[in-house]
Amino acid sequence: LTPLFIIHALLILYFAGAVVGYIILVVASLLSSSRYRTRLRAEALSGFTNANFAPPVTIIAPLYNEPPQSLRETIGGLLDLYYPNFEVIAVNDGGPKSNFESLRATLSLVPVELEPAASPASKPIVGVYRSLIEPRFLFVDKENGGKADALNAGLRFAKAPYFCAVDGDTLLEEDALIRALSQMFDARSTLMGAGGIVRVANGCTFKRGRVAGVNLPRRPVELFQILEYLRGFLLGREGWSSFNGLLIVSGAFGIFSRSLAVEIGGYTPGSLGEDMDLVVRIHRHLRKLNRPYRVIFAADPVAWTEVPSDWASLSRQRRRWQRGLLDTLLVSREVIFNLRYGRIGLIGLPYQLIFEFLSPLAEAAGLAVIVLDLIRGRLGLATWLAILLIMCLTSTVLSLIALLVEEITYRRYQSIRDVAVLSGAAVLEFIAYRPFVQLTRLWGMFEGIIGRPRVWGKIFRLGFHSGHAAGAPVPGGATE
Amino acid sequence: MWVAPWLWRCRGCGGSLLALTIAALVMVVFALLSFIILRRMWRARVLRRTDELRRDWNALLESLMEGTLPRSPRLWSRIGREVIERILVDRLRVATPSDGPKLLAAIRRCGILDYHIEKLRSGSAWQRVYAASLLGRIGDEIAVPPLCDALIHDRAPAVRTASLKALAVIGSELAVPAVISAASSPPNEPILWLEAAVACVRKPSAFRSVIADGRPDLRALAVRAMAALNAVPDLQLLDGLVFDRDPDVRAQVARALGRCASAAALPLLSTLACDEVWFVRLRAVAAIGELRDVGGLDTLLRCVRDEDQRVRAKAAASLALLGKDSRAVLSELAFGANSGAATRAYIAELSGAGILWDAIESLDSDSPDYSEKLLEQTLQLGFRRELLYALSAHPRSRVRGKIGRLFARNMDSDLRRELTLAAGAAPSAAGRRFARAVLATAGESAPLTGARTEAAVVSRR
Repeated sequence: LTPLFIIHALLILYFAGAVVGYIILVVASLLSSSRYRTRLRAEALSGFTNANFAPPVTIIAPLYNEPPQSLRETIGGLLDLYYPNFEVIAVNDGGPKSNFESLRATLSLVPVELEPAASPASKPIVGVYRSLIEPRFLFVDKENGGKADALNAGLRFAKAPYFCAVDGDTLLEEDALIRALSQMFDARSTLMGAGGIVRVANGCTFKRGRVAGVNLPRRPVELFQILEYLRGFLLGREGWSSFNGLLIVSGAFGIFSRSLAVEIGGYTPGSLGEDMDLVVRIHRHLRKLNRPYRVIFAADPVAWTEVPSDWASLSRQRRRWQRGLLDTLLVSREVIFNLRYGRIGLIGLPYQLIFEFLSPLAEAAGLAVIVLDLIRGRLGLATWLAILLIMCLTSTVLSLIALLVEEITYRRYQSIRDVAVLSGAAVLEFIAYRPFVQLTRLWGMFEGIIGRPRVWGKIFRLGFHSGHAAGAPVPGGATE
Repeated sequence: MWVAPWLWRCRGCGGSLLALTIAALVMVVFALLSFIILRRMWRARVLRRTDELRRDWNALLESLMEGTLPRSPRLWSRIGREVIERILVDRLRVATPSDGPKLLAAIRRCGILDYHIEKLRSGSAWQRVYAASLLGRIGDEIAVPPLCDALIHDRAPAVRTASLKALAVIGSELAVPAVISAASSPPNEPILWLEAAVACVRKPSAFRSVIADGRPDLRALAVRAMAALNAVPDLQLLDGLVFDRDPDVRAQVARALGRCASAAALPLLSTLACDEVWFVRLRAVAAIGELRDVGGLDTLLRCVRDEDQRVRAKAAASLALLGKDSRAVLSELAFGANSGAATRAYIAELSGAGILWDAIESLDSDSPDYSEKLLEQTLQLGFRRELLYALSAHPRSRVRGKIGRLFARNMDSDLRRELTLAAGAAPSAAGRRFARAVLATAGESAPLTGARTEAAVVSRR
């Protein structure tokens, strides 16, 4: 029982646990997708829009530095959603005023005096504007306080029983809201949150705030993220949702009960993972109260978002995500392995801790052990290559299963060329993408542990422009 | 990767395991890729066939609606049946009144209705859900008895829910007994029941049995349904519930009374406006606003001084809803009585709804005195930002002039500072010039001499 043997044994256990976890999630997500498709076949969404009691929704879009043209497309797209009863609140989180001038002119915004609700707290409100031509639109200008604070400010003005948090760089499909809300309609008293799938908009073409053509991006870094998103949403979240153990509803597109969000104090200001933080606190709160509830993922309502198109932005984003995960785990440490919180305490959060948060560390340890064994001559080159091949194939299989689910259910990538390119990317991802991501996550973890200041980090975005593909250069469109 | 050394010690066994794992994974990769490609090919073939069938059925649709059934077995294959079902149901949704009965008759002749009624009785759980949903979309009253039966007796909650939703779409009075008895079935979401009840029930008295129920949530639901009905609520029935022990029920009673469209409801609403629970009072003042009867004015004016801010705001909103005729009365009471709370709530309501902007303009023409007074009050109550914005951006120069004069009369150091800032931030050059002109007329030096002329013109008006 040498220390090295113990490390080997621990790592083997870790690897086996991860594989078992993946298998369970894959099976659960396949069953859940199949059930959902059957249900969709039986439902008529048109009937839902005619319903007298379709729940009103407030869409809250926090903005900071979105390019003006992209902003108009996003807000226009939100206002054109196919849903009978909703309002849109755009919150400028202390971003440059010049970006909003065109919005002010387009929507004829005039200042109004609205008393915000006292809770949840947010940074001071500078001004509230209502549109003269679009009564469903409210623009809130506030001091800078971060995304979570901006969402809280939006919550203070929201009136509907549900609110939908949407990123400023996200476009919703026309029926996204109704598809997500149709799930709530049947179980309104117990359904407390729902998230839709977020897809990669880079490479797609747009027309008036909608995705007009789904294409693959040219840059490999964007291509690999498509696979990552498909895997994360269609396998991971679908699987967790079927166990009612979903801990993340994407901040880019998530719907929650407003009263519940207010009850738990809204989003945590300054949090880098505000989306996960809110969902975990919802679970904690309702488990404590012993109230029946569900937080679900629906793969059908689609939101399109622009992902980082260069490695530096990707690194900043992943470091931020890793720190957000760390923050949430630290805040919820009393829940982990706590029987009182049921599957969230015993499975959900421990999984996030062990197989998500610690995965870069475990992989780095594994690599170190292999290098050590190679140096000491305990491992032949052929074996090393064989193991590498197994890992690469395992990763490819997971990505291909996600592609398969996409193929048999939602089929957004129509051309056979796109499927071939994505399959090729699935093979290369393990070597060309994963090491970089794991390294940046390790870096994020290190930053979190040494307590470096929390910064959101600038992400280079090109924005959405009608007739152009996201990620394609547009004169004057880029911001950083 | 860390498995290696341990496996390596196993020598032959470890090597074989590695080789086997690689072989298995390669096979899985190829199987997945093949499946994706083969499924795509199969799907293309099915879609092609479906398109052909759709074309054939569309060509035969006229004769089908006239009563002739095609005999080709290809058209009556499984896919063929699904295609015609989809065509007819989709057309039914957008059919003209003359085409509707013909399409319904065609659906019956094709056996679609019988097929799904049969599936609703004896299919698998998901077939029953699909059948219930489709029968709802078809909307034929023949389907009501089997749907009622499924609503009451089916063992699967999903089927009961689908049946309830289908009955809500059909909205037949035949379903009333089943819907009323379904109120107490636990798996049904209350809101779905509400929708079905509103669609099927015509007479408020049908809810009598549910209202008599001991469970307060059911009583509240029934009264809410009564409020949502397109019929005058039974005042006698509601009278007995004004003092119900459950506040939810009382709140729903207030909601229902608001739909009465009769001044006879005002005494009951006045009683509810004094309730000890804030949301009952809130519903009551909202209902008085809905009635739009000046008889509720006293109650509303009392409620704008309510201890709860939400009730005060709603009372102000209701005051604003009382309409044009009551403006003079309101002006007298709200302004003459020097009730700051009432005035503030009223103006805040106008402002929050974005009406203040319009109100400034509309009040300008029909009642000049009232308009001046309202603007004066608006400024005193701190709604400066809107007035400042309107000063530079309002499309009517007459309104801008009125605000300009108001500012000139009430100029102080704070206002001067804000006006200077507003002059710099005005959305148009004309707006900036005008704001500076107002500053100039109030004694501040104006950087643009041309603006003085405009201000002078405005002041002459």
